Amino acid sequence: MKRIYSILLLLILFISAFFFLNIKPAFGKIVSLQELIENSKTYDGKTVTCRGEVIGDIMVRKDGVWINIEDNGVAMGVFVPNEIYDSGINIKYTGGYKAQGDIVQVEGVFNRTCGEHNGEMDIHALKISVVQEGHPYDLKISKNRVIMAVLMIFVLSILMYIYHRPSLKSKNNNKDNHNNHLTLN
Amino acid sequence: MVRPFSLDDLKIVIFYTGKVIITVGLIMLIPLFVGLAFAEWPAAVDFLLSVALTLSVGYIFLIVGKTDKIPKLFHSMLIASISWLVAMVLSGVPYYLSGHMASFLDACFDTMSGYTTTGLCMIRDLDHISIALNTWRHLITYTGGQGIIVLALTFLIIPTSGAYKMMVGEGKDEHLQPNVRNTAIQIWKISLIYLIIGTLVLSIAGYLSGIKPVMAFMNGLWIFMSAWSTGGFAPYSQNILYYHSLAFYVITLIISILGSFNFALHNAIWSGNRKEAWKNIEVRSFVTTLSITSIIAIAGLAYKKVYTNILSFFTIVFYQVVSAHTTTGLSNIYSVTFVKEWGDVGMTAIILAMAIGGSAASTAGGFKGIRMGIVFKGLIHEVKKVLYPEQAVVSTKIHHIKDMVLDDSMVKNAALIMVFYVFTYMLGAVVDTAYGHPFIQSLFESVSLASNSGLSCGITNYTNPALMKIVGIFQMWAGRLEFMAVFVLFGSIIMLIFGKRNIAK
Amino acid sequence: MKNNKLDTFLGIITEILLASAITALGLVISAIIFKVISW
Repeated sequence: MKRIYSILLLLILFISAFFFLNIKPAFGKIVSLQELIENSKTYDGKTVTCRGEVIGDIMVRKDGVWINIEDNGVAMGVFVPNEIYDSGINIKYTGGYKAQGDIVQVEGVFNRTCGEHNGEMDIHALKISVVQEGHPYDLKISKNRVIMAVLMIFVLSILMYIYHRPSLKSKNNNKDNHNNHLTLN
Repeated sequence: MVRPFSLDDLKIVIFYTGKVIITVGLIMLIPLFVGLAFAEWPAAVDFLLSVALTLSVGYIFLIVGKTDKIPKLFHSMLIASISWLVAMVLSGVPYYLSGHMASFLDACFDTMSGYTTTGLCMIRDLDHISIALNTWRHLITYTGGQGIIVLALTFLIIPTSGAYKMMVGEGKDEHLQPNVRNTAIQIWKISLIYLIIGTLVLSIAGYLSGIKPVMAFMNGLWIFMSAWSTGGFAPYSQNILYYHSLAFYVITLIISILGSFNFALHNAIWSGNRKEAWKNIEVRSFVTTLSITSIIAIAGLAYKKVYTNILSFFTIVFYQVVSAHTTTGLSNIYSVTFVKEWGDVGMTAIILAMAIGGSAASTAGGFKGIRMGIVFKGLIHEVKKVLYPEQAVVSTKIHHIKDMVLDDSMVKNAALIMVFYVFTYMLGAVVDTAYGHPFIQSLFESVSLASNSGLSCGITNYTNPALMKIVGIFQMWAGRLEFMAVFVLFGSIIMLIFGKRNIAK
Repeated sequence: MKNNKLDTFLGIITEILLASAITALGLVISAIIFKVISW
């Protein structure tokens, strides 16, 4: 009896791990972009599965769409042919200052130096799907910084007054000449 | 007998440095407005704070150094070297406030990289920075390329007498126009006209590549500034690879080459002297050394079958060689690819190209084409002297805007500066090797820094030890100012410490 | 200065042609080496 319970417990823990640690079962082993770049000769021409955040612009070209995805600080271009892009992927957010981009999973052919695309290193997507939706960042203005900025402007005004005052005076009095050339034009 | 360093001298240096700082503060208004225009409020606040801080520091310098004396060559060298350091620090404030820098030292590395138009960077998560900050980064390379002193001159913030010497301190010693202020204006006229043309062409290319109009314009502007100033920054971590566009590669090649030309050459060609385009020694030197390094790289990589497509030799290999030789640093391959795929032959070709660099009085770095030309001709001259009968008078000519007779002091000066470059190249190589990196990679990174190129084989990283970063900053700074201004600064400090009894009022 | 604007315009064209020629040189070198290596 005890044995069955321990096996059950282990099974539950194992399955929970997939949910809590977000591990996907290894149907297509996910390879990092860093791994691809460093071992480009090994992966050249092979079908790989990668993940990354869509960043910047989605560039629609004649025969397909360019998406640049970023995976742990490394970004790479994914070329998605029209048939595949049109078959239902909907990228809502692209990563930038204001938002975290959608995270996509791409299964495609890795090219060390793509003959179709100027010899660039890229992935030609065979399958692509959004696995995690992006979201806008909560960009809060720091009160402290605003206060510091206002203070700094105040300090600047005082300094400007101190520096320019003699020349203002001389303009009024028309007496003191030797500071004239120091004024900003 | 070394001149005594007086309080007046100090005031002149401080005062004019202040003028340069004010200029920097005013330029910083541009990213502030961009931040407001794109509703990037936190970034806008950061820039507002930075502008106020920079201008305040500038005014403090003006107040402390208030003087009506005119700077001499000695002061000008100090003003050049010191103002670049102060600009580096103050320009780093918005970077640091953005939260994308691991330390303030990293921010200084990036701003020095920008002003010297190097292009290596420590910034983290570049793909998520604000449009305002991206504008600031590229603007720094654009103004740094022209020279911040040149900018201050143009807008009359610095009066003209003594100005020439400041331009010399900054490395711009060509006489474009009879009047120094007009020279500065001419430099800016050339840069602004190309800014308009280049931004337009790149914006169109961006739009046709699938980027929406507003961002196509911003990208066009940024990439133009980066290519023209031979800086090498790009708005995204993939650098020029982000665009996946042959048009971008070809256009940036052309702009980089144009940007690497001597401003005196632009001026001559624009004034009706179009023959200068092929008669000029720097153009000839550049085409020669570019061909040689390209052949080495392309042949080497073709032989090793790294690339097998004829177009790839052009779009990837030739692109990298031109990027190196013009000391631009834009790249469409990953840093680690130099090590993993290009190997020693490819890397050596790139190192050579970077080391030689672009033309004098341009935004490019390296030995400079004119020195290559002078030293090469100098060598020919020496050989001639030996071959010709002893009584014969041997003279060798070079053509740079006008015909000049080669004399010994010219050759000596050129060779001397080349020696300083080689020393700086080796300095960084030794430091990096000491930290455990393989020699050729260390040499690659070191030459990239000191020639202000910006191509990386992967060593430059925000996780590097502080000493490596500091040495890197020094290399970029010394290389850009072509050493003289830096030596004068160190010499002055030594004089100040050991010559205290000479201080006169 | 006579024909200032025309000179400037022609100058810009000359420079762009020069830079383009240098760029095209890269293509030429690539083609030659490609032919030589594959020969």
